Amino acid sequence: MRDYERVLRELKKMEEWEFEAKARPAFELPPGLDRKLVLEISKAKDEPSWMVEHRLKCLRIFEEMPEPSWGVDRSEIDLSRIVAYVKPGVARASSWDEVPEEIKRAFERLGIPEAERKYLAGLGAQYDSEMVYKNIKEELKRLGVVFLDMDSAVKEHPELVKEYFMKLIPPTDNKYAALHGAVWSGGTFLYVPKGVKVPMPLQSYFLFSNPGAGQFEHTIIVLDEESEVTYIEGCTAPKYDVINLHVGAVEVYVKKGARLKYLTIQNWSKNMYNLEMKRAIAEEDAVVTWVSASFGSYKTMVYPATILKGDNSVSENLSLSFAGPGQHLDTGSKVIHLGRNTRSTVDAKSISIGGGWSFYRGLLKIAKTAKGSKASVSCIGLMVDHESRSDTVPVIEVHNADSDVGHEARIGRIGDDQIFYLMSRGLDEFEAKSLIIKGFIQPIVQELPFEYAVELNRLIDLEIESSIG
Amino acid sequence: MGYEKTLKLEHRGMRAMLPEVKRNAGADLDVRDFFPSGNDVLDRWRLRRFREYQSYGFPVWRRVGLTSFEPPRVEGYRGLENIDEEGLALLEELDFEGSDRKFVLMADVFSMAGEYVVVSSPQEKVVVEVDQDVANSLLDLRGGDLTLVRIVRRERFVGNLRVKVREKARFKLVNLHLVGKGGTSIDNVFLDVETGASVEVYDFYSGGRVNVGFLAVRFSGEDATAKVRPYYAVSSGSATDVLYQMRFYGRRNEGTVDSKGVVTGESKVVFRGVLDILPGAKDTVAHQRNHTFLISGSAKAEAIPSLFVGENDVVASHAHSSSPLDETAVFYLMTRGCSETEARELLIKGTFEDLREELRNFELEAVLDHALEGLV
Repeated sequence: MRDYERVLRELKKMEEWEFEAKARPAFELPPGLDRKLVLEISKAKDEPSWMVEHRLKCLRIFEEMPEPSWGVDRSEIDLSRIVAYVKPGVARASSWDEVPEEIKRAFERLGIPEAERKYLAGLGAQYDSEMVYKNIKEELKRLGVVFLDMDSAVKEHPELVKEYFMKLIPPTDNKYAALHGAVWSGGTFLYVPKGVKVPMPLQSYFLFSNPGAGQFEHTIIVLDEESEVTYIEGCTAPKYDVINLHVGAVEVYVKKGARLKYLTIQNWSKNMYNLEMKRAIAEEDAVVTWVSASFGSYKTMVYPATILKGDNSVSENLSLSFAGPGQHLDTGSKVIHLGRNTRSTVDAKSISIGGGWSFYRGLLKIAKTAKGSKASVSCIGLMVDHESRSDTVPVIEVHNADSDVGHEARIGRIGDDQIFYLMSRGLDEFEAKSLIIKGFIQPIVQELPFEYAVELNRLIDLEIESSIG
Repeated sequence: MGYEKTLKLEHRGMRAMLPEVKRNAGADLDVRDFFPSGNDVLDRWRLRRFREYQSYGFPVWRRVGLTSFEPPRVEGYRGLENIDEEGLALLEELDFEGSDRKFVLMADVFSMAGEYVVVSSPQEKVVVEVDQDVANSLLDLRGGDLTLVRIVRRERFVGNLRVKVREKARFKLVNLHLVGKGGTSIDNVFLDVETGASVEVYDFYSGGRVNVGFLAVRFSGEDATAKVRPYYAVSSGSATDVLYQMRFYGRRNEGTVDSKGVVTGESKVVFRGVLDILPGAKDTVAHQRNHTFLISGSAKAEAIPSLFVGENDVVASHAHSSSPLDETAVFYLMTRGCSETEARELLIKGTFEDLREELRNFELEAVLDHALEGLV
């Protein structure tokens, strides 16, 4: 009984710092998923016929495919009640001042204006299902960088979009990929031309504000040869009493010698099923770096994947998963080595606190063709209390004898001696635990731009406070 | 009473979904293969199991390429015919899922070899060679110090071994699987360890087209230790799939799995580890390690070393690695006068040296040498 009351109290505390966003939608399509709904989405977006056909094909696959039999328990998702497409009641704005106040307030909670003022260049913010704000600096235009919301990209660059859209994540991949293909809406399209090194990070924010809705944004990033970019994705949503669903898809194409760093700070509200698909393909000498910090959501299944197709290509994957009360975060990574002398590292850290459940699930595959490859996977779990749970299930497949593969995993707690020492130096217990946890996640934090590092530290404090404070 | 599941993925009202096992409905044993044991109590228990057995098809195991299973020819019952009510209660207590429930039930119902043994003597060493295709044994170690060498040298095999290691008892198991070329072997071993007891296991897998092993240690008491040392020598197109599970219920238990092996030719090993520390199992120490040497270009190694931790006052880790033979070590040995072949042979055999030392106590090292011949 006492445990139950404590969880309720903790959840209540968490709600206190979750915000409300009350921008009224222009219209909502009726709940449910059928051919009529898919056609209405397409019509509302005035899409070309190839996209309409693609959506209908995905719907057929969705209807035929079985539900995946692994991962988090998804029995609470009722797709017939999820509103597939919600168009915000605002026109797309071209400057921050034009964004409506209620939406702006929600984004301000995320610290975006401050970041914008300082140096962030392009910013696309997705409110519910569409981009409401897009600002590409002249410098990017001059460099030939295409940074558009996906709806515009479908119309303005149809051949480019057609070449890459759902090629890495085909609708036949799984039932949720098919669902995404049928009802996707919004997202980002980024193309960086050959040799261009984008001098500042580009970012998109996804904010979710409609109870019982689904968000299905699609992001495509294409880095031409020898180009470089850092892309930052943030996600958040206010808390509602009904289940929300996020089934986003990110497809990344990194050509010869190009380098991509993809950062995600996921802070969905605690009623969100976050089932996101992220996949990259790296050609010769390319480098793909995924940096992910997952704090939010009710249940998550996200496994950023890299296919190292080209010789000497590299994948780095740094992730942090913070599972608090009532959360089940099933996260991980996938790396598939196909090219020779490919390299990959996975450094996954998790924190379980207040009864949360963090679950690392990974796949590392060294194909027969990937001679001379090296890979390492490290999973470290920190259990802050004895009510939580931390699991790791890596799958490692080595199909040639000319590669070196290493994996280690450790799960432990904060030592009493560590807390005692810090308290003897003047910190209280909360500060001591917070300091130790921040030290634990330091390798992830140092990969983030300054503003995001500050935000991450703030989130850590809030999460710890709500769980053990 | 429910049986001990291999995976338990639940936490505070939440659960994780487990992939469904594909099964096929090929030829199977039926009631005509059910031979009475002469022990009515046992046969009633076997009949209950038989009903459950019939509810499953044979599993399809993608990783080892087992798409169908030809049931063994059953010619009578032998195994636990001397069991009493107390023994049956122990059987129920030690019920488990194993690598697949179907095969655990097959050995329970259709065994043609095995024993129910209660051991209390201060010190004993026993060497047993399993002489039938289906075997089921139950060992109740009530005290003392027992070493059991179990040799499975058959073309095909489905077997269960359940052992209750009671308070402060000591048990050493040397389990040798020497499966004939082209054969299929599926062995399930379940050890329940009480307070203050200690267990040591040397587990060796060699041969067969499909060679599957499951060994679980359940720490039901406190202050117990278990050291499990798996070895595998996989060659000639064999697919070996082994799963080592340790589940910790009580406090202050210590379990380690330290595995290594060699894979050569068009062969494959799948190493699975499950360390499962349940809430309340404070001061648990659990470690698991595996290293695979891949000797040929076509050899494959797969590993799924899992950690499930529901208690924070623990030390838990696992590690896995795979690599070719260390070329600097080969070079060093060649500078000391070995030919390249001799150097490689020395390094490969060196992987099994601890096992060889153990087998020397029973004058069984030739068994290992014979199994390693195909590798070098």
